Formats: sequence, C-alpha cells, structure tokens
Amino acid sequence: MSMNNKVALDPQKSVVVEACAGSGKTWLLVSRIVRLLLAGVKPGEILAITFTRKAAQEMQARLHEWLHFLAVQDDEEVKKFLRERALDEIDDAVLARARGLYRDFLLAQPAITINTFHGWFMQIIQCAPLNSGVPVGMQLLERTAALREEAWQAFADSLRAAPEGETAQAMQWLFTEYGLYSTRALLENFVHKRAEWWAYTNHLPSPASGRGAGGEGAVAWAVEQLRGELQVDLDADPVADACADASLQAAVQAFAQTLASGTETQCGHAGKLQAAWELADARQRFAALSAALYTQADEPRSFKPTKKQNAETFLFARDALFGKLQAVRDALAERAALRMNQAALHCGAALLEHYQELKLRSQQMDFTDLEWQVCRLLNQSDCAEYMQYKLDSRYKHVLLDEFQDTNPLQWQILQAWFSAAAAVDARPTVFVVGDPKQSIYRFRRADARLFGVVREFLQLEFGAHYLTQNETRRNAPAVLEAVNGVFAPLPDGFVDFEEHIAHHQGLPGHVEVLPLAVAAKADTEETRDEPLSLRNPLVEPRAEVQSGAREMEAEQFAAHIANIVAHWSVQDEGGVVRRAAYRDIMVLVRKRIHLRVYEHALRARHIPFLTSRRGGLLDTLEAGDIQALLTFLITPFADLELAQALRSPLFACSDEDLMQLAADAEGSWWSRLQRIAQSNTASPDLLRAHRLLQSWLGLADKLPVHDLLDRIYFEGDLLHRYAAALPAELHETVRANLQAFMEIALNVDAGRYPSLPRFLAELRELRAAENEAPDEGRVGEVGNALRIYTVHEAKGLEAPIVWLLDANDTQHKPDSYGVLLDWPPNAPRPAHFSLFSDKRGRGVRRAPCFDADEAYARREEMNLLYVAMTRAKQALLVSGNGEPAEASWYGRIAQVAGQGGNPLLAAAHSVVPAQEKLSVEVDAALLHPLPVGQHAARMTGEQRRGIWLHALLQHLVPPNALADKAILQQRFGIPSAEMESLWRQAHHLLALPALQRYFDPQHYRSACNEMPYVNARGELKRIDRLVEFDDEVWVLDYKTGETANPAPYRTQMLEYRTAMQAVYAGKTVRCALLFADGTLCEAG
Amino acid sequence: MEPIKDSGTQTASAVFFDSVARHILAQHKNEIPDLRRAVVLLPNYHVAQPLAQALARAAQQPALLLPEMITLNDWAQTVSIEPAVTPDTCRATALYQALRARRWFADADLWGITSELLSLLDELTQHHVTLPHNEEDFLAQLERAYQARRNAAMQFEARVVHELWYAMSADGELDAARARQQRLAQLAQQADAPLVVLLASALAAPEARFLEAYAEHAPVKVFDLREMAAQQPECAVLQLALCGAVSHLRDQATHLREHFPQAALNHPSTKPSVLSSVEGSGRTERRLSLFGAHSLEQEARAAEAQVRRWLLAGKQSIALVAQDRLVARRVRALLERAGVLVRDESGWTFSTLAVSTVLMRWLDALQSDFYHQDLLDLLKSPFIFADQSAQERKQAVYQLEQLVRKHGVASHLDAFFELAHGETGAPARGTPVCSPLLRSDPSAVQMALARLRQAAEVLRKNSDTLGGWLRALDDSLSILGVLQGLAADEAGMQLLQALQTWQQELAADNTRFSRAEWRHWLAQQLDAHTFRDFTIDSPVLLTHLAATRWRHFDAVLLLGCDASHLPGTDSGSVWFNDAVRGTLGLPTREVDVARQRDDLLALLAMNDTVLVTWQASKNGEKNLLSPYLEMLRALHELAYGDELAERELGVLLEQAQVRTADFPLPDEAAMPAPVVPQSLIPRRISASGYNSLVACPYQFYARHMLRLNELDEVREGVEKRDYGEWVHDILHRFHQQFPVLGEHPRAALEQALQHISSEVFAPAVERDYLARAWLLRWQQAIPAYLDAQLKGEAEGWRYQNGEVPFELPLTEELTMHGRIDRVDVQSEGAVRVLDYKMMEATRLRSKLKEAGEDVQLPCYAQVYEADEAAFLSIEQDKVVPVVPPQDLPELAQANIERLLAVFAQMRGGAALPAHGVDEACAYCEMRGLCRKSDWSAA
Ligand code: SF4
Repeated sequence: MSMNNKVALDPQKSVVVEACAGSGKTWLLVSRIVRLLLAGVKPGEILAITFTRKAAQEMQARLHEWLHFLAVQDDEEVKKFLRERALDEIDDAVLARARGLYRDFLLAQPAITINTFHGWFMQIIQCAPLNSGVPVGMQLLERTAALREEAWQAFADSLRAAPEGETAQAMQWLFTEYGLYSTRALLENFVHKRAEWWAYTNHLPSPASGRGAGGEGAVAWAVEQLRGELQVDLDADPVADACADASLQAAVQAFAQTLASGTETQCGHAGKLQAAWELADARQRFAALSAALYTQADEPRSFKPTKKQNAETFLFARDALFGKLQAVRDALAERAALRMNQAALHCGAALLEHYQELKLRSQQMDFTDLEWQVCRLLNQSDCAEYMQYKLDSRYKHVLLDEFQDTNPLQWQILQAWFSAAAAVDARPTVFVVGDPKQSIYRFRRADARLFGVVREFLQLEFGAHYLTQNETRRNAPAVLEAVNGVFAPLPDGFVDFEEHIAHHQGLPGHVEVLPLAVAAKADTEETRDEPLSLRNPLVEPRAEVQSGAREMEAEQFAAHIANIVAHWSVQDEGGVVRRAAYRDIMVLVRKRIHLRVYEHALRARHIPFLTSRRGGLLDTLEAGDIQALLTFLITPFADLELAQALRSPLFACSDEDLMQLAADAEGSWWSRLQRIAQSNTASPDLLRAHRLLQSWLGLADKLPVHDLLDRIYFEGDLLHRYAAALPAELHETVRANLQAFMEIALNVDAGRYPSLPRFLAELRELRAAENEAPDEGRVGEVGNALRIYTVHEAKGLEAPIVWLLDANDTQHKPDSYGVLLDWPPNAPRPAHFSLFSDKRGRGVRRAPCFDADEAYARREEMNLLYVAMTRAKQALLVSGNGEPAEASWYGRIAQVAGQGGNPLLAAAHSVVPAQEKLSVEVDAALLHPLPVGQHAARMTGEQRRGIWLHALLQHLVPPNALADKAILQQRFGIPSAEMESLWRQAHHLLALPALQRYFDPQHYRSACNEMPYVNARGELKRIDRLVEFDDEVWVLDYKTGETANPAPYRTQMLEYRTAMQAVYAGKTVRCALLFADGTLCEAG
Repeated sequence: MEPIKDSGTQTASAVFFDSVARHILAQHKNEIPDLRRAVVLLPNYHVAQPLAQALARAAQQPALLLPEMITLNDWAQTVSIEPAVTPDTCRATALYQALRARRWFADADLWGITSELLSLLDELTQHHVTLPHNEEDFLAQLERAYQARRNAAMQFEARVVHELWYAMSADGELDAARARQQRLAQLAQQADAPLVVLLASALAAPEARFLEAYAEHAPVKVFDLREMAAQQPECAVLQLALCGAVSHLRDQATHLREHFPQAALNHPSTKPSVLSSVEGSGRTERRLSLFGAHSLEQEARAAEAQVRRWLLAGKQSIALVAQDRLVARRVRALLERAGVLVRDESGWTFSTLAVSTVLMRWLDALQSDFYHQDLLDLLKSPFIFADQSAQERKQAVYQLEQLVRKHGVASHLDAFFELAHGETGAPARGTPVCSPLLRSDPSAVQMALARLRQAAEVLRKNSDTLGGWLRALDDSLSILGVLQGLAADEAGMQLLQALQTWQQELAADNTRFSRAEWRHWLAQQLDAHTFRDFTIDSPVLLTHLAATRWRHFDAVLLLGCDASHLPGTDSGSVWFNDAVRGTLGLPTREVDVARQRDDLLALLAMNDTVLVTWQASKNGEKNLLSPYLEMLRALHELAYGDELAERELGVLLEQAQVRTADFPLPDEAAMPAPVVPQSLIPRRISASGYNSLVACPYQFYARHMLRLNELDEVREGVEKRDYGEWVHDILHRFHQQFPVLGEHPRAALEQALQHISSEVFAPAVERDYLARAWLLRWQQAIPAYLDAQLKGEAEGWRYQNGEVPFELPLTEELTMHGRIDRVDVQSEGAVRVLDYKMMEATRLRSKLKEAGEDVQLPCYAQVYEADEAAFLSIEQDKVVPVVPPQDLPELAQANIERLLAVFAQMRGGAALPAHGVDEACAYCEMRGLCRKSDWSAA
C-alpha cells in the first residue's frame, strides 16, 4: 500500500502526509526539496522546519549528498534517481538542471532555511520591526534554572520587604495549605505555562508597563472566570445551608435508623450520625457527619445491608444521604479550588514578573519568551506583513516535519505567517509530514490533536492532498507483526490504526518476551529466640537490601546480552549478514530512575555500555575529582578536596599517605603536605603531588580556566593515569567525560569576565539545575558499546536489536500541583486555565477537563510504546519484573508475541571486516616536546620610551610636521605621565643647533624617515633617517641608550653604508648614531 | 645569510610577486635603484618582505631603495585635515542622548541601539549614500526596495534612520568615516606617484572611488590575485570550483582532465602528474587535504599533530587560520603542551580577559553590596592589591574566606568588618567566633576591607558624565592597587591605555548617565575592543582568513571550516535587509560572502601546503563542510579521482601525543582497607561516629581518623537541618519552662509554645521570608506534639532534662560522648531517652528494624541506663514515638560490647574496609576518597 509519491512530491501541490514510523519521512521531505529545486524554486524560497537540530543537520547532509550524486553520476543513474522521485518526463533540459543543482544550491544566497522552530523564530526576532515592542538585541537563554532560582529569591525578598502585603498574605495561606515544597512546585509550574497564561489573558487591556498581558487585572479576570466555571456563589455558605436543610436532616435520620437495625458496628455508626446532627455548631456538625461517613483518606465508608435488612431501603437511604453530603462537599471543594487559584495565581503572576524582569535586565529571552514574542509580533498585522519582506528569504514553499510535536502557539505563529503571506499575495505551498502515533512531547506542550485540525485546515484553505503511508522500510515483518498485534485492537486512546507493512519482506526478525522476573518471597519471620548477635562491620559488610525482582531482571538481561553478542547475527544495509555486536543493541527504558540496577549488572559482566545520562557529567567521580582539585587551588584550606585529589588516579596516593598527613595535627592539609615534602619522609607519590600542586597553585589565578586545566591534564598525565586505574570497560566513558569537562571550561573561557571562582560557582549552579546540567561526554565513533536511552531520546533512532527494559511497570504518578488547561487545537487562546493541587481538592466542575487530560496521557503512553517498538529493525526483546500486568507494555506485547524460532540465531556468513587500519609510521620525535618560539623579553621602560621618542621625532620633523600633541599621544598610546617629558625631549633634539643640519630642510637637499631598502640578499632594512646633501649622504640611526658608545653598532652601520654607497654612487655616505641626549656620533 | 633563491624553485606565491616586481621595475626603470617615487598599496605589512625580495631578485642590485609600501588606511592617516575628528565615544553619547530624548524605545537597551545606529550611519557615510531630504521620499525609496506596501513598521524604520541621520550630520562635526573620505579625496587630488595596488578581492565602493579619482592624476596598476591565479595552471581546479562559471561539475572535470592534467592538488606542483599513482598509494603529498574530525578534541589534536609534523619537516612559517576560535584556543593549549608557542595575530575581546574580570567583579561587588562570592572572587584576582606580595594578599583572602564560611555571612561590607574584628554578634553556626590562628593577625584582612571601603566611597554617586565615571573608576582602582597590577600585565596595560583614551576623549562631554547606564556602556566598550598579544615570537602563528591576503606560508592549517564558519555569518544589522541595502548602495551579505570566498581562493593559490580541518560531527550531530571546500572536493574527486581526504592523521594522532610520563602509572583501583596506627585511633566516640563505623568502616576512618570535613558553605536559604536545630531549641526551651504540661491549661501551653517558636524563628524570618514556611510547618505540628506529650504524661512519664551532654568512659582508652535530646522518668524510677527526629515514622522504623545497624538509641539507653528509648517522629500533623523492636537492655549491652570488640580489633591491626551499602554511599561525602565507583565494577 505504498503511497502515491506522484502527488506527495508534486511541487505545485500542498500535501499532508501521515506516515508511520520507519517509512522514510526524511526521504520524502528531502525528495520534495529536490523536486522543488528542479522545478526552479530558489533555495532561499524554501523553509523546512524540523523538530530537532540534529534532524535539520541530517536533512541538510542528505540533500547535499543527493545533489552531489546528481552532479556526478551517469545519466542512467540520475534518471533512475529522478524516476524514483516520481518525475516521469526526463529530457535533457531536466537532466542538465539536475546536474547544476549542486553548485547552485551550495552557493546560493540567501540559502535554504532548514531549521527548528526555535532557530527560525530567532531569525524572525532578530529582524523584528523596531516599534513592535520586541526587545532589541536579546540573547537566547538556553539554561533557565539559575535565573528561575534567582527570580524565586527576588520574589522572596519582595515578600520580606512587605510581609503584610497582599502577596505575602496569599503566600502565607499557600504555605499553610500546601507547605513550601508544593507551593513552589505549583508556582513554578505556573511560570512554566506562562505562554498559555499570556494567551489566556492576552485579550485584556494590557497594563501601562507595556509588558503585555498577565498582570494583576489578568489575575482578577481569570479568578472571576474560574468562579463562573466552578459555579461558586461567594455569598452562600454551603455548610450552614446544608445544616439548616431539613431534607438533609431527614436523610441523616433515615439512614441512621436503617443502620440502627443492623450489626453492632452499624449501630455504632448510627449513633455517631445521630450524635453528629445534634451538635449545634454547623461546622462541627458537618465535620462530624463527614467523619462518620468518610474514612480518614476521604473515601466513602462502605455500608452494606445485612441479610436481615431490606436491601432496597438500605441502599436508597444510603445513597440519598451520600448524594446530599457529596453535593455539599463538592461545593466546598470548588470553593477551595477557587480560593487556591486566587492565592496562587496572584503569587504566580508576581513570581513571573520577577522572572521576566530579570531576563529583561540581562537582555535575555528563553524559548517560551521567544515563542510568545514571535506570536505577538505576527499577530500584529502590520508587523506580520513587514516580516514577509524584511527577511531576505521569501518563502514560497514551507515543509514541516514531525508535525505531531507542534504546540498550539507554534501553529498560531504559522497561521499568522500564512495569512500575512496571503495578504501580500505570496501564499506558499505547504507540505506537512507527521505521525500522531509518535506524539510523545506533551510535557513540552505539544498537542497531537493539532495534526487533524491542521490537516483539515490545509485541505480547506490550501486544497491540500491528504496521504497516508503505512509501509515501513525499517522493521522486519516479525517486528511489525507484534506492532500490528498490539495496536490493531485500538488500545487506550487509539481511534484508528492501519496495519503496517514491511518493505523488506525478507528481513529476518524476532520478537522475544522474556519471562517476568519475580522476587522470591523473603522469609520475613525472624527467629526471635536466637541470641542477639550484632554484625561486626570490620569483617562483614551489610547485605544490600535489594536483590529483588528488578535485580533478577537485570541479571537476566545482562546474561542474555552476552549470549546475543556471542551467537546472534544481524543483517547490514547491503544485505550482508554479520555477527551482532554491542553497538547493534539499543536498550530502551521509560524512566531513568532504576537504571543503576541494570548498569550494575552490565558492569559485572564487563559489557561496555553508554548511557546518555542527561546532566550526569558533573556527578561522575572523575568530574568530581577535577572540581575538587580546582576548588583546592583557589581555597587551599579545603582539606577534603585536597584529599580527594590525592586519592584520585591523578596522584593515586595511598591511605598510608593520607594517614601520614593526618598524623601531623597542625594546620591545613596543604601546609602539612608542604612540611612532609621537605622532611624527606614523603612517598614518591606524595612528592609528585606536592611538586605538581605547588606549581598549579601558582598558575591558578594567572591562567584562564581552560589553559589551567590543560596544564593539569598534561602535566598530570591525567588520561593515562585514569585509564590505568580503571577497568577497561570504563575507559571510553571516563575519557569522554574528562574531555567534556574540558569543553565546558573552553566554553566558559570564551564567555565574558571569566575567573576560576566564577567557573566553579557556575558548575555548582549547573549541578543544582535539574534537567539542565551538562551531559556526559560522548564517546567517539570508535566505541563498540551498548546504548541505553529513554524512549523519548530514542525518537528518530533505530537499531538492529532493541531491548525494552522494565516494561511491566504500570505505575504512573498523576500530576499534582500544576496547571489545568483546555486549549482547543484551533482556538486562539485556551478555553480554560486554572491551577490544581493534589487529587483531593479537584471538585467535579473541572472533572471533564481532568478526564480529558488523563485520557490524553494514556494515549501518549501508548504512543510511547509505539515509538519504542518501532525502533527495532530486526529483533525486539522485552523484559520486566513484578506481578503480571495485562495493561503494561510487557503484558500487551506478551499477548501478541508468537513462539517462532529465532532466525537471527544463525552463523554469520561473514565476520565483520575489521576496520582496515592504516599503518602509519610515527616519527619518534612527535612523542617529545619540540620547543619552538619564545617569549619576547618584556620591553623595559627605557626601550618603550625610546620607541615613543622615535615616533615623535619622525612626526615632528619638518616639513609636514604633525604638531597635534593629543593626536600623537593617542596614536602611539603614550601614557600621559610620559608624554610631557618625551614631547620636550623631542623638541629639544629638533632644536639642537648641532642637528639643524639634519632636521632643517633649509640645510639639505632631501631627507626621509624610516626609509626601507632591500639589499642584494633580499634582506629588508630600514634606515631611521636618510639625509641627502649635495655631496654627501647621511644615514642617521636613533639610539636610546645613555652611553654614547657606537661600538656595538658597527656592523649594522657598515651594512647601511655599503648599501647606500651603491645607491648614491657619486656621493660620500656617512653614518651616525643619534643618542637620546642629542649626542651625534659618527660611525667609523 | 643565504643567497637569494632563484625564482625557478620558488613557490607559487613567488610567481605572483615577481610579476608585480617586474611591473614596478619596468615602470621606474630610469630611477633604479631608487624606487621611492612609487607607491604600493598593500593588503597588510607582511606582504612588504616578499615584495621587497621579489624586487631585489628582479633588479639584481646591491641595494634598492624601496617604494612606499603602505596600507590604504595608514596612507590616509598621513593626510592631516581640519577640524579635529570627533571620536566615536562622543558621537555615541550624542546619539544616545538623541534617542533618550525621543523616547522611541521604552524598555530597550539604548547602548545596543546606539551602536547599531552608529555603524549604519558610518556605513552610509563610507558609501557616499545621502538620504533624500524629505522623509517621505526616503520612505518611498524603502518601499520600492522592499517591494512592499508601506506600513507602520516601515514608516518607523524610515523615520528613525532619517531623523537621526540628519540630526547627527547637522552639527557639522567631523567623524572618522567622513574624515577618511576627505583624506582619500585629498590623496587622490595630490596624486603624483604611480600607484600599484595589490588586491585579493573586489574593491569596496569607497576604495574603488578613490582609485578612480587617483587615476585621473597618476597611473594606477591593480594586481588582482584572482585574475593572476586564473592564469596559473596549478590553480585551475581552485579557480573552477570557487569562481567558475555556471557550467556543470562533470563538464568542469572533463575540462580539467583535458587541459590541466597536472593541476591536481594531490601532488606538489613541481612533480609531473601521474593520475594512476594516486590510487592505493599510502602517502601522497598534497597541496591541499581535508580532515573531518569527529569531535572538537579530535580536530584540535589533529591540528596540533600536523603542526608539529610540519615543524619537524623544517617548515619555517606555519599559519593557523582559525574560522572557529574555540578550536583555535584548544589547539594553542595543546601546542603549548608540546613546547610550541604560538604567535597570536588575531585579538581577543577585552571582555573575555582576566584583566577585565577584575574590573567588572569590582563593580559587581559594589552593586551586590559585597555579596561574598563577588567579593572573594575579586580578592582572588591576581591584579588586586598589587602593591602587596601575592602571598600576603592570598593569606588575607583565605582568612576572610574561612571566616565567611564559618559564620555564614553572605554580604555587606560592615558585616565583614565585624567578622574581621572578631566582634561578630551574628549567630555563628556552631563554632567559636574566631580560631586562635586567625585572631593572631586580623590586620591584613582589616586592611583589605578598609581599602575596599575607601575605594567604594569614590564611586558612591548616582549619576555623572562618562568621563566622570571613568575618573572615579580610575581612582578606585588606584586605591585597590589594581592599576599597579594591570600595569604589570601586557593585556592590563592595553586595557589601562584604552580606559585612559576614553577618558580623554570624553573629557568635554557633559551628558550624564546613571550608574547602570554607565556600566552598560563600559561592558559594551570591553566587548568591542580587542587585545593583541605581541609578546611571543614564533614560526607558528594564529590568524584569521582576511589577514592572510597575499601572504605565503610554508604551511597553512585552516581550522573550523564547517558550513557555519566558512563563510562566516556575522549576525547582520537590524536595519533594512539586503535588498534595501543593495538599492541604497550599501554592501550586502553577498559581498561579504564573496570576499570570504576570494580570501580562501587567494590563500589556496598562494600556499602549497594546506590542511583544512572541521568537525564532521558535533555533539553527535552531522556537521557539514564549508560549501566552498565541498565544491572543491567534489570537483577534484571527479576530475582526478581523489577526494583530498587526509587519512593518516586520524591514526597517527592516537599514537603521536606528547606525554609527561615521567612517573609510573597507578595500579588498578581496588577497595581500600587501611590499617590504622594506634596514634590515629580516636579515644572518644559519639553515637553518630559509631553509626558511621557500623555503616562503613572506611567512612569512619575518613571522618574520625583522618578528621576530614566538608567545607562550610555560606547558606542563604533555610534548610531542613536548620529547621531541625530550631525545633530542638524550641522544645528544649518549652520544657525547661513547662516540665509538666498537665499542670497548665492546654490553651496556655499552646500559646506559650507558639510564642517560643516565633521567638526562635524570628531572626531567620527576618532574614528570609521563606523561613515562614518552615515556621508554619512546625506550628502545624504543635497540637499533635502537645497531644503526644500529654499522652506520655498520662502514662506516667515526666520530663526530666533536655539537651544533656554526657561523657561515658567505656574503657581506659575509649569514652563515649554526646548530647541527649531529652530524658524522661517515671515515678517508679524508670528512665526513657528520647531523640527528636523530623522524619516519617516509617523511615525511623526501618532504621531500627535490623538490630545493631542504628546504634543511637541503644547507646543513649546505655548511658542513662534507660529502660526505654525512642525516636520521636515529628511530622506535620503526626507526632509518634518509635521504639526499637528488640529488647532494649540486651540490645544496648550488645552494642557496647561490639563497639569495644571492634576497637580492640582495630588496635590489633584489623583493616577498615570501604564496604558501605548503596544506601550509605548515596550521601557519603567520602566517595571521592574510597573511590567505590572506580573499583566496584571490578
Ligand atoms: S562511599 Fe560508601 S564505601 Fe565509600 S566511604 Fe562512603 S560509605 Fe564507605
């Protein structure tokens, strides 16, 4: 059921393609670009938006590759290529055009735009009209955690300054209700959703500050809006009303009576109900009623009729009472929700203001601001139109990749762009590719529903064609069988699913579901009688508490991996079958939380692996070592840091060394090390450490951080020493991490106002910032290692063998303390915006919204599974632990996985050809330092003054003297302190009667300063002053030295004379040295 | 001196210079050997030397007086004109003021707009663009250029530029751009000498105009390297690939093969071309090769290795042409490792240098009221207090830092003074005010602080002129000894010079600026000016593409040549777009790109040993080669079957590193298990020490035998442990006051406890609003606490004592010590020890589950011979005692016996292994010492 490429690639048509995983979306997009170019579209007229930078780069690379292909291949190949891209009529003209594309494309100005949304937005912002209110000269802020922390502190400070103010009161209330932690989470989540908040309140008249929507008026409006939705009547008192309500009383009585006819417990409850109603105070009465009917966890108590009771009357009375009570409780819940929103929106808006203010002050803007500013910009029709012609590129063709990951704001921006384009009669064709099944970025505010909406929009407005593609070029039929099996029954949230078909029907494949790991029941019963004996910590380590089901799964996993690498084969692109290697295996997990357990098992079997553990770099031991060392270098009294550096492989000092330092009880450890080093009792390791540390301490405040680190790496022989100390499977990772650390330093040094303390402070901030800390280093292409990713990260990747770990986990924590949002995909602004706390305080009015949210979350969970399964080219393995759960990923796959044999368990026809290593002879001299170059001796003050004096002389000599003192001073950078005396000295020299002959034009025929000549050997020489008289020529050489000794300059003078004699053949050439004091000294 | 080389063996570049030389000599043949009448316009002064040599070669004279060889800029500078030129600093303030007055941009950074505008105005001047008098006409012009209807945004743009252009040119001052124009005009007017011009790329409009005018008076001969290269057969492939007409790659390749079979770049131009020899042969020497690295590090290492290979091969001049400064910086460091110094021709902006850091950190410190991090950072700069020895300065700052850390003082100069005087009234966190060591010489710290205070005084004002601010800055820097420090540094000197120049230029300017505006201005200046380091002399030099025009090197390394760096993208102006710039007569991006392409062509034509490097992948993403080089590679491959890839280097650089391997490598890491000498075995132990010993003997060893601690950090917010301390304090005070609760009405108790709580929290709440949240949290627990306490009393327990320190000698050599939160008694004499824990009961229960793993309660029980012991778990609305599940006296006894046994074993030489369980390791500060993650895999 291959899709109709004729339509999809037709440059004239707008098209929406819904394409399954592995169906070659990049192929399609890039093919379309080639077709556009062939049709004469200029690169600058094409805008392609991808979801990640990586995808953009890949697309760009693919495009180059193909255009190169077209430029160099034989006609037949080119024709075949074009036919594959649904181009039928290929005449010579087409061929010629195809061949020329490469060059035209590469050198085109403006170039094609292949970018992410954010990259493109940045381009737009940078040339936004000056009067649009978009701040000028903003930088993009990629890591926001530090600034958010700062904003939080600033917010707290503002509260401290006005502890009785409205905001402080509201905060106090929030603290009482939710505590510090949850309150902050709530407000931070509000700030995170600020774009939606602004969109929600944008239509309100903005406050005078001009900073847009979202201020106080907005809060009041939003609260009022919410009050309406929650149907809260502020004047009513639901508790009092209920307690005064006779029908409630009747219901209580009725149920109490019914209960009283039952068991002893039931009688007890009846009593409690009766007693409750008798309480006079309405609040107490209601509380007592609630306590009688609801558990502490706020669940309704279960009341069941006994055999003796009339079930019907019992249930009727029960339900009537619960119904009435629940109504009141719900009303209370809505009130509470409203109260909470009142306080939290108020505080959230205040916090937000601080955050925005901070960014504005530092001229920065984060991704959300960027999106919002662009959206605002393009929604002003004047500006939107202006942008159409302000960019150098005028897009006639827009291509959008991974459209399911677009968020409503981005779609609005596109819409605004399209309509502005229409307004200037330049509506582009639009090409959209996406797969709602792969929409997994809700947490980044993507909305997969947009896909359908946009499809309809484009069909209607652009006459777009809608195509679907369910043939995949990636997966083997066996894998697809499982995929189809899981998704054909339309699990959670799936409304339609079309069966996938494999392009490579012959590709061997295998799906394997490993048995669930179940923990053996530990005997919890302790034998009490045994005499108490306590563990001796010196000899007996404490047993790890774990060794549960997960550990078993991990063990099973690691063992099987070893087996796969030993016995399985995979098939390469070209159809060559070869032995599977570690690098062929991609391991997927949903969350990172338990990764350590699995990594542990891999390590124990010496299986090399790479975890793209986001943000892990600074927590690794090796990065910790370097940080400790650097900290020591600027705080030499940091004993523990010094000790860590000493124990690290860098110095590899022993515990004996440490104990020697500890034994000396005086002063810091550094002072002790110094003493011991001098006392002849230090071990060689300690001596080496002392020597190196001493020298680095001296450099710490002189060298830039990167240069200092480089010295440390080099002089400490760091990489080699780490390699020696660590097991082989860690080498690559540790090395990559150490280099990644170096790169951070390199980047920081290139930043403004660097210093080592600031660098370390920044590292601390980075470490504290969740999700934003630097990633661990990437191992170069050489490594053969298993790769572990989360499913989110694996998007866009594939591997011959994919292993889904921990797939039986069904727990997912419901969100709490967040923003509840209803933004219909095509609406300009959200229909609902409110904050919620935990499950309990949600009320019923917002239930549909919560339900929709939850349904959406479940659907995304299935999308995630879809993405995970479709990464596998040939083999999909699934493992899990715990009790069987049908709805888990594991359960779903287990139900459809067949029992077939494993075709991958076959001998490889060919072993991987070992990469042909060029053997290169290494010149042994390359292994040793090669001292080259030198530091010029620093000029003495004397020398510098000499140079200045020369310069002044040259410019003050008549004729054409440049007499402006200030200009001369500035031009030669002469300090004010020196200028005066130099100025005087120069004038003094020029005025000396004995020198008039050489300086006063009346006395000579011609003269020139700084005169260059070249001698027969090609040497360029320069004469300070050459004065030509009728019969002789004088060469003057200015000297700054005090002593008038011409001896050292004899050779030089001789050279001048010989040279000038050749030029002025008929004249006598005389040479003289002119000293600063005015002494003229003729040479030899 | 060697005799001058015969041009027959000369490099490609010599051919170019020889033709220039021949021209000059021919033109001045009657004046030889005095060529002084000729003028040669150079792209840069490095070209003078080879040109002089070429002249000498061609003239064959013993000496030749050379033509004036000068760059156009310098030549223009020789013309003096009136009136004086207004410096850009003054123009910027004028423009700033104009913008300020017009209130066009509300929140915006006016300095940013000012500098954007100034450069636009300069460009307009340079290119002789005059805006129409009438704003309406200008708008119409824009409208046509944009090919669009006018609208508000366009009108505004037109208005801003038009109005300010006229405002700025109205005052008749002479700016640098105009001055240059006048000077060039004069030069052209007075032209008498024949002019020779060396070009590598198209002339910009002002220069072209000048040459035209000049040519009216005297002969002008232009040597354009592009045209000259086109004549050279060995440049054929370069020429075709970079500048070729629109013909197709395959045709070009055929053309090359037919007409230039020897022009392949994969053999030296002197050897005859043998196409077949390329295939399979391992080593080919190339004019040009390309190396795609897989990371920044690899690129840098490849560059470093190649430079050293060249040096070893005897190359005398090697240029590192850096398109990417980051890589260049890395390469330079790697070369320095290997002893190779690099002469850096390209500058570094001042804002990236440590000499500016000291300046800005000083201003930061002032602004943040001496926030401790800014302050310490400032004091750790090597440029401050340069009149003292570094040793003295460091001593003082370390002393101050220790005090600051110990007492947790976050900011305020006064607070630091108090610290230094040792009179701190601040509630020190736990430790005595001043260690004796520090008290011995507080004067150094005090002196440093006093200088800071004095220097701060100088800058204490809200508004001033830029000149005034700069003077004040200068004064403050002088007080701080920073001037002296900077003067001793090459970059520092240049910075001081720049500050002085600005001060002089702005002396007469009387626009006033707020502190913030001034700072912003200063930051912008530091961003805009560069430092050049002239102190190194080396055959290896670092430079940029535009600086290589007409230069020849023995070898050239082009760094960072990916698509995003070559052609480089300067971010462009916010004004107009290329279409408009084009119609106005301003250079467009196309011009800029073409210039870079020409520079590249010139570089490749002039040099016959070139290695290009780039990162073929970057952070795991593909990264494309520069389109120029990609074209060149494609054409070369097609024509000569070689894609120019450098293959050896990748292999070589793994093996060809310089190492400091003067010391044996360490052994593979293993679990440490030190045996501790008697002298280090402690004679006292606390319950928490014992806990540590049980959890992991190595941790105990590091903490209590090596006696290592983490550095104190200045904590600004309230943390959980503060909360714990305060609650302890509150309960202690409360029970001292109310030993028996039953005797008081509950409301009174609650009130009293509330009161004490507020009191204890008061200082914290004062400092930090968020402390309230903690107070509230505790207050919510108060009713539950009272309930629990009353329940205890009902069971007969009476509060006896709290916060009791104890010492319990266990043996001659070991004493147990500590402090018990609370002791209760019953009337029958039973004793109970309690320990408050702000922790969930379930967690406490699991702590106590395994006998002997948490020793606190049993130890306390032993000390007080208690019958009962419990943790009191205090949570928001729950307060419950948690007791060990074992028989307490038995447990206590067993714990003490084990302690003694373990100590005896330690004394007997038992080792202390590092075998904490993961739970213990998770928060262990000693993980860097035991290095568990290094060996646990093994
Ligand atoms: S990290 Fe673990 S093994 Fe190492 S000292 Fe700490 S507790 Fe012991």
